[in-house]
Formats: sequence, C-alpha cells, structure tokens
Amino acid sequence: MINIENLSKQYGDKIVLNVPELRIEPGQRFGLVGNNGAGKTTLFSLLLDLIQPGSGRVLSKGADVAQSEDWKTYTGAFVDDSFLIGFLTPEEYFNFIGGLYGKNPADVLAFLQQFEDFFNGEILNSGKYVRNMSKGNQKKIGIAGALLGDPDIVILDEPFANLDPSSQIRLKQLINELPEEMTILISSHDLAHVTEVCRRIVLLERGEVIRDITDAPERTLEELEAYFSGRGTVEQ
Amino acid sequence: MLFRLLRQSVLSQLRSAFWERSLVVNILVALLALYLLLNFLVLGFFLDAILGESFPGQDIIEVANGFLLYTLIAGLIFRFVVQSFPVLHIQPYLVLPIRRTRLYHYLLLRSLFNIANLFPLVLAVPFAVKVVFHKLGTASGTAWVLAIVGFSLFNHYLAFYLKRQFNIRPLAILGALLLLGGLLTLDIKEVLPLSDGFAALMQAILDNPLLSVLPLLLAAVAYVIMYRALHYYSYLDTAEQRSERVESTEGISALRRLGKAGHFMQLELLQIWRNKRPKTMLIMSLFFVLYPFLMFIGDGDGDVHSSYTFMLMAIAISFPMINYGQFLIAWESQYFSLLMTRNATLYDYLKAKFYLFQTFNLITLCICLFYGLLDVHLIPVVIAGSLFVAGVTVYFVLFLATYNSKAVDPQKSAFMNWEGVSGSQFVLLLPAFLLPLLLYFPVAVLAGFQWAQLSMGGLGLLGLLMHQPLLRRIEQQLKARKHILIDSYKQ
Repeated sequence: MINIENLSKQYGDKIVLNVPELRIEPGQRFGLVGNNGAGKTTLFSLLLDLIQPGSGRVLSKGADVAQSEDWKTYTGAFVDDSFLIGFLTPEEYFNFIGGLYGKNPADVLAFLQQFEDFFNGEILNSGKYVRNMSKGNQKKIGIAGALLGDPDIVILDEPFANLDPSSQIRLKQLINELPEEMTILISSHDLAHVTEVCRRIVLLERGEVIRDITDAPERTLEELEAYFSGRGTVEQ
Repeated sequence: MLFRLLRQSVLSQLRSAFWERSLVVNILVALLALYLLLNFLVLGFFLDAILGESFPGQDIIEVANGFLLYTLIAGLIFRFVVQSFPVLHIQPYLVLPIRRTRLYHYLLLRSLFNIANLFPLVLAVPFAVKVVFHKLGTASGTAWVLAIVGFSLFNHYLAFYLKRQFNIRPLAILGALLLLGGLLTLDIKEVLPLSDGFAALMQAILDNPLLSVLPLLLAAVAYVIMYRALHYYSYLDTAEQRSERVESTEGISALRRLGKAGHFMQLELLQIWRNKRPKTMLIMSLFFVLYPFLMFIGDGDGDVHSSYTFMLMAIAISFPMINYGQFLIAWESQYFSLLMTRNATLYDYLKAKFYLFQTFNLITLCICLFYGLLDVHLIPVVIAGSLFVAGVTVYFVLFLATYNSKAVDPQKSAFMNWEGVSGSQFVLLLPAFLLPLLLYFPVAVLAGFQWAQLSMGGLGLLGLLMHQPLLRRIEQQLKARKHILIDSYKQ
C-alpha cells in the first residue's frame, strides 16, 4: 500500500528523518511511537506531501505522492490544526469535506451516525464555529473528517492527545470497528493506547527506525515500556 | 520591564521567517522610505526659499503656519493608509506577573518607533532652525517645534485609534474621514476659515511660547483615548464565543453545479463573510470603484479615450480582485494543509479562485457600467477594461499570490491588526496595476484609441478562452511553491 524508499529529511545539518525502507501493507494497523523530535510528524507529513523529502520518495499504491495527486482520492488525514477550518460549524466542515468526495449532506449525516458515542452530543448541532470549540472537540472533528470519504488509508497524528478518558476508549473502539481492509497509521506518545489498536509498532528515534515489531503483539507494550524507561536493550 | 518587552518585540521581528523570505521586498520598501525621508529633509531645508518665492512679500512663518493644517491632515491620512501599528500577542504575557496596563503603555510607546514619525521632524526642524529661531528667538522657536511635535504625536495616536476602530466600525471611520474631507473642501472654498484659525493659534504660540503645552496636551488626550480603547477592546475578542448559537448554512445550490471548484468557492465566500478582515477589505475596495468618478468630477470633462482613463477604469474594475487577491492563498493559511491533502487537485483549487475573481469582476463591471451615464463613450472603455482584467490581470494576480508566503489571520483583524497591508504587497502588485497602461498606451499612440480599446478587449477575450492552459501553467507554479507555502504558514 505504502512503500518508502530511501526517505530522508534534514533541516540544515540536522537529519530529522532517515528511513531506508519501510513497507506498509494494505489493511495494516500501523502504530508509530517515539519521543518528541523522533520524526513522527515529519514522516506523516512526507506521506502527505506536505514537506519535500531531502532524498528518496514515498510510493502510495505505486505512485510517487510528490508527483501524482491520485493518493488524495483515497487518503484521509488529521495531523494538526491546519486540517480544521475554524470559521465553519462542524456540520459545514463535514459537508465541505464530504462534498469533495461526492457526498451530499444526507450521505454525510448518515456517515456521522457511527460517531454518535464518540461525539458525546457535543459536536453536531452545537451552534458553534469550530474555532470556538475545545481542543478535545476539535480533535474529534478532525478525526471524523479524516475518516469521511471512505479512505483506503487513514493517517492520524496523536489522535489520543487532548481527549478525555472516555473519548479515548471510544476512539479505540471506533478504530477497531473500522473496515478491516482500511490501512490505518497512528502516531502516539501513549503506548497503551497505540498497542491496543495497532498490530504493528514502529519505534522511531532521532529519525531512524530502531524497532519494528510485528510478530508478538502481546509482548509489545512490555517491550516498549522497557525501552522508554531506558532499561531496554535496543537491537535490530 | 518596558525595555524588556521592547527587546522581545525586536527579537520577534528579527527572528520572523518573513524577514528571510522577502528580503528583497523589505530592502525595496526600506529604500523607498529612505528616499521619501530624504525628499522631506531637502524640502525642509529649502522650505523658506520655496515659500519665499511662491508668496513674495509675505511673512514666511505666517505662510507656513497657514499650510500647517493641510500638512497635518495629509499626514493623518498618510498614516492611516500606510503606517503600520504594532500588534501585541498579549496572551503569553497575561499569565506572567506583568500588569495589563503596563502592556498597553508598552504598546503605545512601541508604536512611536516608526519611520513615519521622522517625517514631520525632518520637515519642520530645518525650517525652524533656519527661520523661526533666527527671526523670533529661542523661546518662540522651541515653542514652534514643540507644537509641531505635539500635533504630530496627536496625529500618530489618532491614526492608531482610527485604524483600530476601522476594523471594528469601518463605516463610522469612513464617514469620519469623509467628514474631514468635507471640512477641508469648505476651508479651501473659504466658507469656513479653519486653516486661518489654525494659523492664528500657531501665531499665539509664537507670541506666547508657554502656550505650546496645548498641542502637547492634545497629544496626551489622544494617548489616553487610545489607551482606553485598548483597555476596553482587549476583552472583546472573546465576544463571539459568548454570543448566541450560529446556524449552519446549506450553501448556494447553484455553486454545487461547478463541482469541486464550486465547493471551494462556497468555502471562500463563507471565509469572507465570517472573517472581519477580508470582509472590510472588500467593502473598502468597492469604494475604489468610485475613484474614477471623483477624477471625472475633478477634471470637468477629461478625455475619455486617453490611456489614463483606461488605466483608471482597469484599476477600478480590478481593485477588489487585486486587493483581495494579494492574500489569495494566505487567507487560507490556517487550513491550507487540509486543502492540499483532501480529494481535490491543485487545478480544482485554482479554478475556484479563478471563478471567484470572475464573480468579483462581474460585480464591478455592473457597477462601472453606470459610468455610461456620465459619458456614453465610457461604456466601451469599461467593457474593454473589464475584459482585460478578466482575461489578463487575473492570471497576474493568481501567479503573484503564490509568492505571498506570509500567513494571514483573517479573524484577528477585529483586534488591532493591519498586518501585511503596508508597503511590501503593493510593490508586488504594482505590475498588475500598471499593466493596462503599458499595453494600452503604445497601441493608442500608434493606431488610435478605437484600436487600443479593441485590442485590450480582444486580449482579454483571448485570455478568457485560454484559461485552461494558463491555469495549468499557474498550477505548475503553485506545485513548485506548495511546500514553501505550507512551511511558512506553520511559522
């Protein structure tokens, strides 16, 4: 689904990302963990052609994302605030995005049914502009927006941050209930959450992939905790 | 404390990515400002000679005093249009142990560090030293300079106030400026001897130097007014959150037929409607559509076929487009990443901008056709100009907009924000304004105005027909600039 080839990015002398090879298969639940500055957002931004790679390329369904615009038809993403439109109401925001995928307002409303629990009655029909809503609610809107348009690939950067505990649990349920063939990429600081929804965990440190866990998901959390507490041995 | 705040603001300026990116433009603007300043200095030095020659036999101090009111009003208008006033991002400071009031004082003092404040000095001081000190002695000379400084400071804070209020109550301020213009006209027509009264006041100050505290007091009053406005409005920002619920719109169904471009247009129309700054900018632009009208009134019957008329018309018609278009992409800086990653091509995006511009043009064309009432011969000028704008200028603006990589917060305008509307953008957009003149003039001289009008209209029509390949070309440009824009919008 996604192939990364010799991808690197540097700002000045500092190499912020260097991934020689990474393949993400269709339907994979892909979790990206790492400390601040490990390059998680940089990697996602490169997947979305928001920044230019220093070298290498990202192939999405075989096409270079920096050349072709095809990936936009099947990719949904929520990385940061710049994916929200502050002066719209949530309904207008969803309708705008839905419209780009040929959905009319009725389709959009039907689609949003599955988010009823997650939204907790605070999003739809709130009579507020997105810019006046709380961080947590803005995040919920962004996540729902990323899923709108039945994407094949969904990219969520720190989806659990700023959410209250019940919303975090509902989000995990929601992600687990998404169609199996959907490829989902999630980055998070929160190891417990990300290991609950992702089968594959990739650990980044200073821009390099230092751990790629696919085999033993039941031990993943332990292993990661050991690593982040500084006790773990890092071997490839 | 105040010093430390000043230092932080200097740092924020120095470290702003804006500096690195548009260094050339900044240098150009600085050079222009220096050049103007030099002009004023020279004018100040030779003011006595100029006045002496223009008004022989009169006392030049009296003559200078007579002109003072006009100079000050011109200064006020100049400041209102060109001078940029500082904005303090107050939030990070609010939690620190700094008193709010101190922040306002800081902001007001900070605003003084502007090159505009040097202009009255370089004009007045040489004249004062050469003439007033010389003729009337040190006391009167000092009083005269103090009075000028007082009036300039008054102007400074008044302009600050007007500019701030303009964002909040645009029509009231516009009305006030029109009133000022009206008073000036009455004075020039000698119905109301305002400038004579002002000259008499200056004379009184010269006679009794202690009176020079009056202008300084006036400046203090303006300071206090501005201070209170800051105080009052610094809480108003959050008013939107408290106000009653907003209703979602269903959108304009006709636009849906345009597909994705229609969606983008709808978004942009809401963007304009719900954000203060683009809205006031467009309202202001409509006033410029009336600009040629004022020119014709002033001229009696100017030559409707001249290149100058054509340029005026083309500027008037294109003004809303150019004025709004200078921030075309920057308006959407806050959600640009979304637009660049969802299911729409750059071409769809540009097409929406193109349609939006054509909508603006259609509206201004409809207004400008009324010029036909003034002179029937203006109708072909308007139509040719409109076609030219719709088919040529439009691509210029679209192309140049990709170079404006400075993020704009369209919502903030309600609270002392005039970012970006000084100098630099105009340098970029000058070609867009001058283009019609450059193309019309040679044809008009060589072949006559009919041909010039015909060719301008034809050129525009051709541009409209060719919109697909031309937009594709701009799409390439946007593609090349896209990452730079995304990066600088995040700063």
